[in-house]
Amino acid sequence: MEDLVVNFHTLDGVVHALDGVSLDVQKGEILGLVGETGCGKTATGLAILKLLPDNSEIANGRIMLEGDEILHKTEDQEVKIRGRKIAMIFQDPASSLNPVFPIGRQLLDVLKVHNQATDEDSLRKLAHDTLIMVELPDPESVMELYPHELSGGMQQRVMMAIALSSSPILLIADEPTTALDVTIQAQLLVLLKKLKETLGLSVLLITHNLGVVRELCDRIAIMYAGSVDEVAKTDRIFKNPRHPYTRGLISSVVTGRLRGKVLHYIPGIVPSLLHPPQGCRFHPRCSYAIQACKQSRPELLEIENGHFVACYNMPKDPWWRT
Amino acid sequence: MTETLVEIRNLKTYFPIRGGLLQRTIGHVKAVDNVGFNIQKGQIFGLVGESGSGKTTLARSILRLIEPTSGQVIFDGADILKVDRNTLKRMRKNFQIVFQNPFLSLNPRMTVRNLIAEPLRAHTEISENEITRRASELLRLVGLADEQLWKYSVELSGGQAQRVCVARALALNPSFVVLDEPTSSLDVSVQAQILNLLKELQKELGLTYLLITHDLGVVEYLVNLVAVMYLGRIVEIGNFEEIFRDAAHPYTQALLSAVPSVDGTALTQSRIILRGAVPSPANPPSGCTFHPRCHKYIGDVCRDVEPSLNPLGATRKVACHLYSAK
Repeated sequence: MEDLVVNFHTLDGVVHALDGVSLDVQKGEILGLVGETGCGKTATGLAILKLLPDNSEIANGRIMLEGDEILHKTEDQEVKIRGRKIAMIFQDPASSLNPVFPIGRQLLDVLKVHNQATDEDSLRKLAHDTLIMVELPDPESVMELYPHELSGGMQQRVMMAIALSSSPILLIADEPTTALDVTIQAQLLVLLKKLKETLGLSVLLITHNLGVVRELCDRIAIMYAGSVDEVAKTDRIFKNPRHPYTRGLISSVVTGRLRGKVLHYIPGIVPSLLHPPQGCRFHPRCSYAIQACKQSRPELLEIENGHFVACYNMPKDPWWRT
Repeated sequence: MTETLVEIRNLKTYFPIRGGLLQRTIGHVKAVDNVGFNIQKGQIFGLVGESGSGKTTLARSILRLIEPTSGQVIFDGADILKVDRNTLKRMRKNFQIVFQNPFLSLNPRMTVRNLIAEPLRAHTEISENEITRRASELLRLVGLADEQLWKYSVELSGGQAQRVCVARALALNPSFVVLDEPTSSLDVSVQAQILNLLKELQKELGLTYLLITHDLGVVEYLVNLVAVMYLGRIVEIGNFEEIFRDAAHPYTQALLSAVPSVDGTALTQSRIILRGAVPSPANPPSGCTFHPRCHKYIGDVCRDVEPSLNPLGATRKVACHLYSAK
């Protein structure tokens, strides 16, 4: 994804949701896309699938899939990419599934659209195998059940099965475990990792949970107010974050190790994207801001092998939280 | 040295399940099932558990926002569950609650001043000028400026709105505040601000908190004592060090190991992955309700006999046959 610009036209004016987002997901890796509410994480995911709402426009940029530009395809070609090459799962599995059809029917519908095989028997076999893949016990009876008869964790497994049924090369997972309890989250994270390894799947994992990305992701991209501020390997992001926002974000996470200490926080709030700040969008909240930050937006530059930062005045003081 | 502020004894809150043609009661959801513990003055007591474990029902039962089925909640020598309406109203000055979603707690048609004035008008007879003075004093206490007094909740950010809820809860100088997921709907950077505030206020005003949360990081950071709930019962209770360094109950162990850590300290190798999901509280498993998911299942006793909450060491209690067997 290169220099993607997405605007939303609303009654209050134009919301500059994505302001030149560049990202890449490598084959077989899990890239974590992290940021606070309203920073453009979900818009990024939807833009890749061209699922953005009608009041939006992609004003600029390119999205390439295996070297092939996918932004300007015809509707027909889009359908072949969406679902077949790129699939997506969402935060709330209950609202993604149709409550009036049994699981099997919904899974078979998707399989019919995306597969050459048309006879019921081989489709059922395929559906069965996909449910086994996401480790749902007793797939035959699961297929007879309606969504409300499944727990949240099982519903999300069904969503994963539907998403993976057409063997996509990229899975976009938008807060897949946020609505679930921690013990269920743990089950799904293990599954996601396993699927990545066995299927060679690439995953764009959208989340605000830094703990989840630390455990699961190979690389992490940090987003703030519509742009990507820092990208690096997971270990580097946590051991040597260079963007002031990344540092602020990581140090705001509350853990027992901080007991007795005053918690660090980022002053101010995320700006409205109707009127984003000039220059670096983080500068009004940044304690390292200099004159240049107010005037122009810093570019995302490679400061070390594979470590990209968009900042004019990277903090030089040592990072305390390992 | 420590003084008990709230004593909860054998508290049960059952919700009837109605069914059939005549809508007769055909069973009960045991949302809170025989829970008892003490909250000491000046402490932060943490209540953790997954969704549906009964945390919120327990908190509301303690404040009698829900009428419990049976049990006692003794506050200042009086049983909250027994007192008449007038006494209850008088007592309510002393215990307040802050909810998860500040925007749902604040009437969008009232200014911040009037939101804070509500409890003052209900419980005191101070003049309007006095109310404005007190409201601005409370705003300063929670780190907001005077100009916020005349705003409506929609004009506030999530963090600011939650501060207003805290200000309102503190308006009547309560001694006990229930915090029900106070930071769960906030972004991490804002969450830290609110936690700093709550901690500061607790120290400054000598408050006692009952903190309900599913965020174990917050619990480990803040609380003195923790109770872990599973399907309406307390499975383990103890001081935070015991629970977080050396959890005894298999459920506590699994819960703690399930949390992905930013510090990279989670031992992925030793992670306990539980089977299945939390069963329906309308039809809980027999014996120990955790037995179908337990990774330390020791035999029929788990399936057949309900373990009681027994002491393990000086300050901890555990409800598990692993320990009662010895």
